[in-house]
Amino acid sequence: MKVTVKFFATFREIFGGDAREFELDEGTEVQNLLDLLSDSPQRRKELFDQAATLKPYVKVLKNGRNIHFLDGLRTKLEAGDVLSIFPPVGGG
Amino acid sequence: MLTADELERYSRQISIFGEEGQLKLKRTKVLIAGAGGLGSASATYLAVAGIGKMRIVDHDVVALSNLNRQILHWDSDIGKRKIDSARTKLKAANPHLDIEAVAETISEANAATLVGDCDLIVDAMDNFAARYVLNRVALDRKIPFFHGAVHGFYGQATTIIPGSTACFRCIFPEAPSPSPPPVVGVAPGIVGCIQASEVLKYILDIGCVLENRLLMWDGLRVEMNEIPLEKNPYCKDCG
Repeated sequence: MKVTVKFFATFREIFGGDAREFELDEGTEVQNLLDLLSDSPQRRKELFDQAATLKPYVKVLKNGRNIHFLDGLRTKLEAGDVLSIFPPVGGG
Repeated sequence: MLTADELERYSRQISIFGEEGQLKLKRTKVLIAGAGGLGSASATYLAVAGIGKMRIVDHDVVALSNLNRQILHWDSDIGKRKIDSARTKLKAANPHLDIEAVAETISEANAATLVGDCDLIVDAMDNFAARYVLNRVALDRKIPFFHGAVHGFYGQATTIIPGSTACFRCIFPEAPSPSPPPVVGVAPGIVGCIQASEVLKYILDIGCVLENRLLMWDGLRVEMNEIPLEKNPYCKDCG
């Protein structure tokens, strides 16, 4: 099944573009997809802390809904899903 | 009542707002939390639009490295308190503005007093800790909190209405490490203008505001995207 990941702000530079498409197996969870995205130590560090939990200020939305309100990293992905991922933007 | 000067000064917008709308702006007191990049843009546009009363809070003094983005402060202001520099420029832009300048660091201890009788809060801060503090006061007082933030060419904005939208803590449960981000001056210019526009529409009750919508501005690609937001029922501030 095809799933699209959209990146925002500085994640566009870090993850190499505005969006990437993945061909995934049925039943893939958000955690699996984020692991796929973490293909370098720098990319992994942007998403996860040392305990391998998603950094709380990294927002991950599945079709516009924060996975926090779904099943978190265990949220199942479905064909056609769009996952939006963005970092904190905090300057003034 | 609007004076003859005010009727002429605002004539190009009174055709949209009506005199009653213009009077609403005049009767509103805005807290500008931060006199940096976002505060420069938002305070300037709110001042010239005819906001009647403004309290601007910042503890800092103008430094050379501020001048690429903080357009209220000029080369001749280096070393002055930002609030004094801001007050001088804003008052010169619109002498009708009643402006209070407060040189304090926003903290849990003083936040409620700093907000005082302000009708709304413009988030022009540069750190998450102060944003959480004012988010709490906005929730307690049930007044809107107009969030804005920038990084490089990027920016974001949303309008938080207590009781109806996700609060700042719902959106960002925890703060990132407080390292100062790179900022290109146009980013706070754009986001500060969006915040000012949101404030005007909210006061005038026209159009729609960024309720439960996080606007993401990408100045490198000239794109705006919107991310829908939801209240977090377990939010430790508003849940």
